[in-house]
Amino acid sequence: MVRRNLIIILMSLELMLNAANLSLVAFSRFRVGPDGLPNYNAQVFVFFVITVAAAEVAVGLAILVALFRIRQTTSVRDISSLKF
Amino acid sequence: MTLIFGAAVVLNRNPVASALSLVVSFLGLAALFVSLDAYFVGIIQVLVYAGAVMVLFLFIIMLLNLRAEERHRINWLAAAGGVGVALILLIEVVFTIRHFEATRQTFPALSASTIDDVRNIGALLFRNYNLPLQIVGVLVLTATIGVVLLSKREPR
Repeated sequence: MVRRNLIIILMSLELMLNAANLSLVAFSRFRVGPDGLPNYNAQVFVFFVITVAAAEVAVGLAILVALFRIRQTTSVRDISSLKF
Repeated sequence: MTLIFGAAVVLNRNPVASALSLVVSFLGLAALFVSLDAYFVGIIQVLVYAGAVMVLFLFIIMLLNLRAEERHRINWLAAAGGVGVALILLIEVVFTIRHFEATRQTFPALSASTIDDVRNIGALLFRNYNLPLQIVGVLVLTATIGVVLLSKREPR
């Protein structure tokens, strides 16, 4: 475990999703159809990925805030047990 | 530049500096998208990610008043594992690029000088992918309701 702060972990998750987006857009540009336009299916997928990632960030941060209210810490090491 | 700021997100001890590095890497990524002729996706990236998601992150950081972490002992095994996985991925990508001769060619040129990709993406979205679009709409609604529910205080 390199970083313990939960917010940094959520930000790194966003970074990973963005990496997938970049590869999708690159492949969309690579495959040029017969009419000279790039293949837009991958860009539609990128649109969906951005939307779903934004929704997931919102829910993740809401969970974080609720957790912080109870435990008063954002370190993953202190929240690691599932007891109530 | 995007890579450097992406690494700075993980390695920074101050969470505000991490969030700002993430904003810069999002902007760098949007520049990469525009250079790949994906104008709609690039602008959506700036608006949604750098505009809404990062603002949310910064609000939460300010709300919870997170301090900078103090220096702790680096777990060398975990760090080596992470760097190892990234290196393996990088070697795989380089190997794949070397092997396929389809990747030797440069990007094929587009025919139209101005690309109205908003219209094309919109047409695809609403014709072929209409059902996933509606489902994603319901998903965002559910996420909103969930966030409101999760942040209710106990009634005293």
